[in-house]
Amino acid sequence: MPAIQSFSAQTPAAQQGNGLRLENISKHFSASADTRLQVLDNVQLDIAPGEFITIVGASGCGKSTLLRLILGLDEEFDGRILLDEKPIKGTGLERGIVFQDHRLFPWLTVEQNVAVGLKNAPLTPAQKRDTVREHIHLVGLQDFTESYPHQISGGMAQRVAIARGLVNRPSVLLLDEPFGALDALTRTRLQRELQNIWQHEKITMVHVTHDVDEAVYLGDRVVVMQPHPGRIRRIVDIDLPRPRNRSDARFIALRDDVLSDFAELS
Amino acid sequence: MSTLTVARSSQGPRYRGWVVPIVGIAVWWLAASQGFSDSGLLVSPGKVAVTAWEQVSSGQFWRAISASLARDLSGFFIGTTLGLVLGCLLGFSRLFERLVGPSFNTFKQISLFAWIPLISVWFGLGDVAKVVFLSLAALVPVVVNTCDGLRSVSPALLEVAKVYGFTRWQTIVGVMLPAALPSIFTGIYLALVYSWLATIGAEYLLVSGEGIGNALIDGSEHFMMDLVLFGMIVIGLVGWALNVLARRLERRMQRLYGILPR
Repeated sequence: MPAIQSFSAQTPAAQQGNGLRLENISKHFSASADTRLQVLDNVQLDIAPGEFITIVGASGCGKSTLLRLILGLDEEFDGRILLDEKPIKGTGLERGIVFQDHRLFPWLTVEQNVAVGLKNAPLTPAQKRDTVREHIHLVGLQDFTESYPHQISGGMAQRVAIARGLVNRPSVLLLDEPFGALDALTRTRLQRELQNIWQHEKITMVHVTHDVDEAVYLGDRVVVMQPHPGRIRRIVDIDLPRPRNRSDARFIALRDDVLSDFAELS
Repeated sequence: MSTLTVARSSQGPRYRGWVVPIVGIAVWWLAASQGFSDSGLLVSPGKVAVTAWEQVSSGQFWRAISASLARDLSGFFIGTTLGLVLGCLLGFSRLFERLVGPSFNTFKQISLFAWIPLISVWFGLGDVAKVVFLSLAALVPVVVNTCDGLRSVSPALLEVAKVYGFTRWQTIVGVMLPAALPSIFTGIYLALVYSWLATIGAEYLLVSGEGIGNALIDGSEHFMMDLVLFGMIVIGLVGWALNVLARRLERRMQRLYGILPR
């Protein structure tokens, strides 16, 4: 990882506030007049500021839906989502996202794509330029600022997406299986990079994955979800120092513990 | 990590493409000079060349071709501009699409040349009628491709715009139009091709006036095959030139868009 340099003297401080709280979140889809699919059932979660939460669960447990609710892309649900003690309304720059597909604009360069995150941010153009450069440095792509998405690899594109997600210093960054589409080697590398970025930026992160190994490696706490209907089965504290070692006995024990939940369900 | 490079595929010696035309012309010249046929319709390549020279030097050719091209480009520009406006309205506004869409979809099914009788009754047989016809030829592909391009912008990208608080205007200009531009360009390219094809057709069917198509008809009516062949060659060359121009512009745009490697 290249040395992380800070360019900007005045940057909007990351709002630490009082964290993210999910209160009695329920959501259902009405497939037809008389069938109702309960996607989320009474999800309750308190996330402290600066915490790294991983949510792991099989397909259909509603974890991606939960992220979309927090993000504000979907506003139909029961319950409350509070950020800094205030209920969220629609989308907002204080909640960032990294999708599974990088969703970069093909007609923009790497630098311009990261700048998309600041399109409506209350900064001067000079401040925007500095913050963009800073975040491109953060993900190690300073040699590729003028490249187009089709010219860089999938892993690099996802790093650009991470930079874009962080560029306006959100209170919380949501990650929806961000490494799911990458090969195993790149995935391992990016997990480590994400962890470094998190330790440097101290932004609350909510990371959804179906990979238990990744969940235990990255999270302060692992939220295990079960499907039909989607609810939290249990929350596992990962009390291991970082950087974590996947071969460590305690790591393996915790991972097996979480995995056992899925063995029961299948 | 270096940027990707694309290997150039080897095309083989370029001259191979010339073999068939040269052999063809040689056979033709042989057939004409040995008198294979008594028919006055078989003219030698030499005669065509002489006629070509006469046409060019007497200024007849220039008048004809500039008349045809002037109508072609007028119709192309009018049709493309109207088409872009209509296509954008259909693409951006759901209400407009519901109101006007079905009518337009019906309208576009009418084969282009079926409009000739109506156009000749309303506008006569001269330049105005021809330009109306050409505008029609250019309009349809532009509307269809523009509207399609705008409606099929990836919802994933539109979600990104929503996440970053893009206003409706920012979404239109910053996401929808750039995403649709390749499709819009295809429509414009088709309009260029169709309006040139329609130019010649218009000269056949709306016969009053001057143009390269008219020269062709004159030649065929008087059985002057040399004139006919000369006309065909010219039409082919212009079509080819327009094609090359459109391709160049398309590549420039694709490079700008990062679709092609720089």
